[in-house]
This record gives sequence, C-alpha cells and structure tokens, in this order.
Amino acid sequence: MIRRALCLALATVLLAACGAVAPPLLDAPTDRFDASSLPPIELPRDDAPHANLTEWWYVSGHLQTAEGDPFGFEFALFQSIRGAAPPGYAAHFAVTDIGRQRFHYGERTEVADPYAGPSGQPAGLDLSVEGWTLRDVPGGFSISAGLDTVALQVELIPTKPAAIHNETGILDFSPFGWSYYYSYTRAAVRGVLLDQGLPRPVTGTAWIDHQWGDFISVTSGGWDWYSVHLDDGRDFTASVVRDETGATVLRYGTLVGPAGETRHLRADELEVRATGSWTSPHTGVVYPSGWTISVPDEGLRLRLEPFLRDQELDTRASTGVVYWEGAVHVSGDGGETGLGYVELTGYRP
Amino acid sequence: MRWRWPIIAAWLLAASLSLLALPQVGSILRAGGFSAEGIEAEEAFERYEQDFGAVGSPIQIAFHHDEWRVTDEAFAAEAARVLAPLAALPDVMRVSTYQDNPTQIAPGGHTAYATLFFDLHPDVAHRVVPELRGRLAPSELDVHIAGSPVYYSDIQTLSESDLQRAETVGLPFALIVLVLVFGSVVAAGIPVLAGGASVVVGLALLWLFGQQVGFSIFALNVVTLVGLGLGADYSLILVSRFREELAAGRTTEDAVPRTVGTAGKAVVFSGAAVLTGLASLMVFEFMMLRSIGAGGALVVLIAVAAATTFVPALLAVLGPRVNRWRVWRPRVGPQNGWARLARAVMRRPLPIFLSVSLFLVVLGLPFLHVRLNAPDARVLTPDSPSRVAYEFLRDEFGEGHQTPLFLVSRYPGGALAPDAVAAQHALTRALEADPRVARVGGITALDPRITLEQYQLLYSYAPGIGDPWARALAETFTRENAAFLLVEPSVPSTSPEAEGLVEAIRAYRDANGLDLLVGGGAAGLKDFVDRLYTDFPKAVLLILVITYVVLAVLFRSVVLPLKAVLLNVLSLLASFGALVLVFQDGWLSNVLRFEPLGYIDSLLPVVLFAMLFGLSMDYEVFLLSRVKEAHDEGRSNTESVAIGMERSGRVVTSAALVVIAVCLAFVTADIVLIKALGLGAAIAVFVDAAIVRALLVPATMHLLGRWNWWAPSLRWPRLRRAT
Repeated sequence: MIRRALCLALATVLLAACGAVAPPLLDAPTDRFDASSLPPIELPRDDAPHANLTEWWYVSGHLQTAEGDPFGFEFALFQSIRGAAPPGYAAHFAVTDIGRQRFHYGERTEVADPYAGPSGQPAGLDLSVEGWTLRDVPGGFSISAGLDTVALQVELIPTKPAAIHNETGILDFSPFGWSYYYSYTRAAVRGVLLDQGLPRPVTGTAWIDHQWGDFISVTSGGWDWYSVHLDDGRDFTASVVRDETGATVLRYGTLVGPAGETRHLRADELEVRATGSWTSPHTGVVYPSGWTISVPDEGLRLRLEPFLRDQELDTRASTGVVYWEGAVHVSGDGGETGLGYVELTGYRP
Repeated sequence: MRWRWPIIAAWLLAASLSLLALPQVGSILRAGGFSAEGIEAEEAFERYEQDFGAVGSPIQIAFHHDEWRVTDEAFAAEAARVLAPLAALPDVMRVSTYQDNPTQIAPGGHTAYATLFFDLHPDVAHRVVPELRGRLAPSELDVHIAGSPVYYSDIQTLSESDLQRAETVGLPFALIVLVLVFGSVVAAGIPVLAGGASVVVGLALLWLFGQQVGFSIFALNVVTLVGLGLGADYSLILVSRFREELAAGRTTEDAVPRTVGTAGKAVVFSGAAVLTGLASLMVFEFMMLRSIGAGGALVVLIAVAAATTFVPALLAVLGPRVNRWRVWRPRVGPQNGWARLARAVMRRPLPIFLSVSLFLVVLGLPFLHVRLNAPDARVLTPDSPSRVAYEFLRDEFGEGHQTPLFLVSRYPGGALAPDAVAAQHALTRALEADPRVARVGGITALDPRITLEQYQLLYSYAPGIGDPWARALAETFTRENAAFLLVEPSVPSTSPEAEGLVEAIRAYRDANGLDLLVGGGAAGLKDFVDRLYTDFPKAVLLILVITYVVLAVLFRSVVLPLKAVLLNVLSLLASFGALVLVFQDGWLSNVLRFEPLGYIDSLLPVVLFAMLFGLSMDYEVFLLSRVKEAHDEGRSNTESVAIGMERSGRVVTSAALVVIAVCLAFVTADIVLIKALGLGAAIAVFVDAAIVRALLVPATMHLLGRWNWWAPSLRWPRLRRAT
C-alpha cells in the first residue's frame, strides 16, 4: 500500500515536472522558390505596383526638340517593401543633353504614408516620389520630373505589345531571388522638356521596363543591361548578371520584331563584349565603355557607343549605389542604325 | 537611575536633531537594487554596453490624438513642441523620435513616442522625473511619461505617502490599545514615545549612512514598520513589568533595576533574534535586500537601546506617576485565566498539539501552489501616472514592446560574416515561428520572404550595403563582432510562458554553441527570482542556527530553542499560506483595495521571513522567559508553564495587539508589497500570540516534560538570574 502510494506520488511529481518543461524553440522550415507556383503576367493589371520585396519601373529613351536638338532621358522609380514597414520609394531622373554634351541627374526618396489610403495600394499606376510622378493614362503612361536646369513632362504610348522576357516573364536569379519582367520596348513619347527654363516640345521613342518580385539588389554583384531601338523597327535587349566575384551567373536577351513578335535569346545565343573603358573622375569607378553585341543566329552584330562618356549617377543617398546609365548610338555590321540605352551596376574603383 | 536625566536629554536631543534630517531621507534612497554579479541578464546588459555603448536610463514620452495621425504635421509640430523643453534637460544624452525609429509608432497610427536617454545610473534616474513632469507643457495631444525611472519615482512618492498614512493611522491606534492596556495615558505614552524616537533616529541614521552606501526606497517603510512596532513593543514589556514591580510594593529605585534585569534581558534577546533575521538579508547580493536588512538591523538596535536606556530613565523619573492620568483601572499583575487555559491544554497535550499543528499546516497549504515573480506596474494603484502610461503603451503597442528581451551575441569572424548571418537567421526564424513571440528585431528580421542566401548577399559587402533598410538594421543591431536581437514577447513578462521562452532561447543557445547572452524583460525577472531563491536557503539556515544559539544561551536548554524555532516556522507557514490566498489568488482583494497579480512578489517571502522570524519569536521569548523564571524558582515543569502563562499573558497579548495595530496600518498602503508586508506581519504575530503561545507552547512544554530543560554540561555563558 505504502509502495503504491509512493509510486503514485513519484508519478505525479514526474508528470508535474514534464508539464513544467518549457516548449523549445523549433528550427523554422526552409522555403524554396518554385516558379511554377507563380501566376502569369496579366496586363494592364500588372502595370500597377505589387507587394513584393522589390519593384521598379525604368523608362529610358531619346527625344528630339522641334529644332532637332537630341536628348536622352532616364526616369526610374523604385518601390521597396520590407516586412510591416510602409513602402519606401526612390526615383532617379537623368537627362543627357547630347548637343551640349552635358549630363544632368538627380534623386529623390519618400516613405509612403502608411495611413494614406484604406487599402494601402492605389488602384492602377499612380506613384509619386516627392513630386516626381509616374502614372497610367489612357493607352499608356505619363512621367513628370525636374531638376534645377531641366525638367520633363511627357506621355508614353506603347506602340508594340509588352515583351514578356524569358518566355514566361519570370526570372530565377538565385541566390538573389526571382522576378517578373516585361517591357514595353517601344513607346512614342510626346511632351515638353523644360530646358534651362525654356519649354521645348519634344517627341521621341522610349523603352519601359517593369520588374518586380522577391529579389534583392545587392552591392556585391551587379549587371549590365542594354536596350536598342533599331531604325528598321526591331528592338533588342540583353542582360548580363554577375555575382560578387564578377562571374556571369545569368545572360539572356529578347529580340522584338517590328510587329511585336518576341524571340527569347539564351546565353549561348548571345555574345557581349566591351570594347573600351572609362574611369569616372567623380568616383574612380572603372566602367566598360563601348560594346559589341552579337546574335549570330540572327546575323546581328551591333556596336554601341556612348554619346557621352560621363553618364554616371551617384545615387548612394537614395538606393545606395553608384551606376552608369547612358544614351548610346548603335550601328550594325549589316548597315543597321539605331539608338539605345545601357545600364552598368556593381562596378567599383 | 543615576544617569536618568542625561539619558533622557541625550535621547531627546538625538530625536530633535533627527527630525531635521527627516525631510532629506527621500533624497538618498535608490531605486532598483536588483542586480548582482553572475546573473546572465546582468552580464547581457554589461556586454551590450561594452559592444554598443552606454544605454543610459530611457524614459518614453508618449503622444496620442484621437483624430490626428502621427504623420500629420499638426501632430508632429505639437509633439516637437512638448518634447523640446524635456530634451533640453541637462542629463539627456540622446533622443530617439518616432521619425527616427518607426517602431515607435503604434499600429493604429494615432500614437507614437519619443525616448529620452538620460546619462544617469538606473538607481538614481528616478530623481529626474519631478523636473521632467514640471517641464511638461499643456498640449492638445494626450501625453504620457513611461519607463522604469517614472515607475520608481511613483513608487517613492507612494511609499512616502503610504508611510505618512501608516503613521497617521498606526500611532493613534497603538496609543488607544496602550491606553486600554495600561489604563493610564502616561504609561501608554512611553511606548509611543520610545517607538517614535526609534523611528525618527533610525531614519536619520539611514540618511547619514545613505551618504556612503545605497539604501532602497523600500527600506523607508521597513525601518518605520519595524522601528514603530518593536520600539512600542519592547517599551510596553518594560513599562508593564515596572508597574508589576511597583504593584508588588517595591520602590522605584528597586523596581527599575529589576525591570531592566528581567524584561530588559528578554528584550535584548528578542532584539538579537529580530536582528539576526533582518541581518540575514545581507546574505543576498541585491542592494535592495541588503539595504532593507541593514536598515532593519539598525532600527532594531535603536529600539533595543531605547527600551533598555530611554524607557528605564523615563520610568526612573516618573516612578509611581507612571500611572497618572488614569482612564480606567485594569488589573495589574498575574491573571488566573491564562493559567487556567495552560492547565486545560496540558491535560490533553497530544490531541491539542496534533490538531493545532495540523490546523497551522492546513493554513500553510496554499503556499504549495505559490507562484513567484517580480512585481510589475500593477503593484501601483490604477491611477498612478506611470501605471496608466505603462498600460496605455501596452494596449497601443502590444504586450512585450516595453519589456523586450535582448539577445547579445559575439561572432569572432564578424557579425555580418556569412556564418554569423546564418546563425542569426536561424535563431530569428525560430523565434518568429514561436507563439510566445510577437516581434523580432535584428539584421535578419527585415522580411520573412528574404532567404538566408539573400541576407548573406545583402550583408556580404558591409561598407556599402545597398538596401537602405538592411543598412539601417546593420547599423542598429551590429558592431564589428557583436550583434543583438530584440525580442518582443506576445505574453506578459511575468507569465510562466515568458519564463519558458527565456529557458527555450538559452537551451537553443547551448544546443547550437552560440556565444549569446539573454537579458532584458522576462530574463531579468527570471534571473532575479532564481538568484533570490538560490540564496534564500542560506539566509534561512543562518536565521535558524543563530536564533537557535541565541535562545539556547538564554534558556540554557537544547530542546527548548529547537521547539521554539519549529513552532515559529509553523506560524510563519500559516502566514505565507494566507498571503498566497490573498495576494496571489485575490481573496479579499476588494476589501484591501488591490489588483491580484496571480503570483506573489518574490521579495515578499524573503523579506517577511527575515523580518517576522524574530518578530513573531518575541512572544515565545517573553513567555518562556517567565516560564524559566518560575522553573528557576524551583517549580515543576507543569507549574512553571502555568505560572509563566499567568505572568506573561496580559503583556504578551497587549504587545501583540500593538504590533498588529502598527502592521495593519501598513495594510492601507497603496504599494502592494508594503500592504502584503503589513498583512503578513499582522497574521504571523496574531498566529504566534493567539495560537502558538496559548495552545502549542503549553502542549509541547508538557509533552517534552523535563527534556525541556535538558542541556549537556557545557560551560554556558553566565547570565544574570532573571529574578
């Protein structure tokens, strides 16, 4: 009887002791990216912002005034969403005054008011970063941005359907992450350029990139991006992504025909070679300058030369990076001519 | 007798000078005092300061508006206007606004706070609060001031008002009891005078020593409670004996030395027992307990000194006039009722011993489910500004926002190296997945969608982290080889779940070989309680052994002190059980006006044991002294007990009533710890005087028979015979 009571008491103590043990911390499962789980791009719905880690709209193009003065321009708007923090925005605006051989650029940032709207996300595309705006308008988009000496207010009306890159529109650039990516490769530009206080009507052609996804932009690697408008109506883009050692981790391209038909270019179908270099007097960074891009299957061999060497943007205050993005002119072995834009990131002194 | 006038003059001078120091006592008292070496939470804090720089003492200024949002210009302008004069205070070393740190904005968007970091030690930072409040401009915003210094400032304010209230209630009540006991205003006035002098001189000495060593703000109440209770108690014993001697026909010249030689001796031994208990608090490393122990021991010495010098001098001057201003005429001397009770008990000693012991054990049973933890803001009254502010911020920001855990780690290869990022990422993910965690802050807590590889890439080129969020996190949460995580629990810091979370993090640390220390919030509370109860058995052993030795010397017996110590433990156990029922389970909480915490303040059993062991031992000491006197006169064991009960019955009852009156006055306190100390002491004294003294002592004395007086033939210290 006593023994049974002791056993019972011991069991009670052990049970109580078991109950008192705090639950341990458990290792969280590791999530793996699965591209097949993502829905396809749907436009124009996907022109609007998303809730992914990183998203940007890149507009670059060439303008001409009524007097025939050429200008290049770049307008980029970045959205970052991290956890429960309100979305953060940055915008870069640059104008290359090709005739005067001058380069103007600026940057702005803004953190969204987390309490501005009931849904937190505006319907459609209507973004503003300290007064610089990117909006959708019937049939296209509008941008408005300005610096001390130059400002731009134009509408961009795509003249070709969107080109969905990498066939599915989804890029897996692990370990950096993944993204959706499409481009309106050719858009007619019409608007006003305020040039040293003087409003000058402008027309031209622009390239609109839109990329979003759960990827991060890191300073340890980088990429080279090329866009070309050929005078024969074809458009062409190529991207080369490097890791922190400088090794190429991704190379691809897209060729868009005059009617908008696209052909995805794999890494082995594409050759990119720098033909020169330029050292920034501002930052000491050495960039490639001048390129040859070949697509042998298409019999295409293009040379890209900057209109201006110094088209470097030091945007460490807004996006933490220094990069080169500039207007280039294009010529081909087959007599092709055209205009383009090149972006170079991740280069260091 | 010869020195009566100089002694009275000396005491009056000391008390008068002490009165001058009283207004300054508050200025030397320190908050906190809960730190000790070797406590992990403390080491975590020190490591944080080594690696990240001094933290200072933070005070939060919270702003709220029902209509305006924190992003509205009107809100920002008004908050800046209120903040400006506060930030200009001389000791402010840094200000963190909600614009600098968006985590200081509440989810609803109508509340935000700024944090002022004061370059002051946490123990003294509360002294800045009155000036801070004075500089608070009227505002269209609701403004609250929160943080530990504000909490301790309110504790000090309430503590002082508690004290005033206890004195206002306790002294007249004690005087009434004394007048009823003695029937004479003069006789009743002597214990009040001696008790008052003990407190006043005790507090002045606290101020004097406080210039050199730290005294906790809680020492104020303990010194007053012990000083008032014992001072009055001891004097009552002496006055009572003196009146007995006069009634027996002795002259003042004869009665005074006899009083000092008998009752005075009992007072000295009783004082030694109380002093032992309080001095045992010096075993602890915590300043808070050491200072209560030192302050308490100091005031015991003063109370004994007052009873053995000041009171005899007064009696020598007064002589028979001690009975002047009669209100009524009580019987002086032995009372047969107590002797009859003792004889009745001794006729059935075993059943009475067993049933009363069982009753006390049953009273103590609730203590088996005691849950101990450190106090939070709920120990203050619901309308205390710091409690209002704490609860407001808790409601707006969530449970753990104000009391986060911080996990300080070191990585020899650099805090942003891939393996360090991997370690932090794994721990962060594990914490984020835990239901006991509301939010984690750290370099890998940017967004759950960011993978480990992405984090490693983000931080792989530290001089130029491109992502501004990641850059901000790296600047906040890392230095060269050090990193920390901020963990906001979703459960109250005082809950068992929060304690379990701390244990789980430490187990994770050990299993993964991390060089990581856990501090803050629940970790600090848990480590404090753990250390407290590691040291508590040492203090208990010290009290039991020394008390035993003191009583063995007094009674020249081996068995009698053992019995006294054991019976005293029983009465304390009953008191502890009652405290659990009242302060943990909430019985009578409406009557006593407090909010039950669901646990017992971990300090309470420790301070109560130290304070009460000697205090409740008093009555046994007084009773057994009279029993021994009778036994030394050659009476039988049974007769000695009956005579001892008869001779001491009235005075012990009176003394207990006075102490209970003083203790119950502290039950009116606003601070729950003080309220509980008062109630616990009152219950223990009542149990000891009413049950142990009246029933258990006669029963056990009879059962033990001649063993009561057994002692090995040692060379006992020579004591003057009591008679």
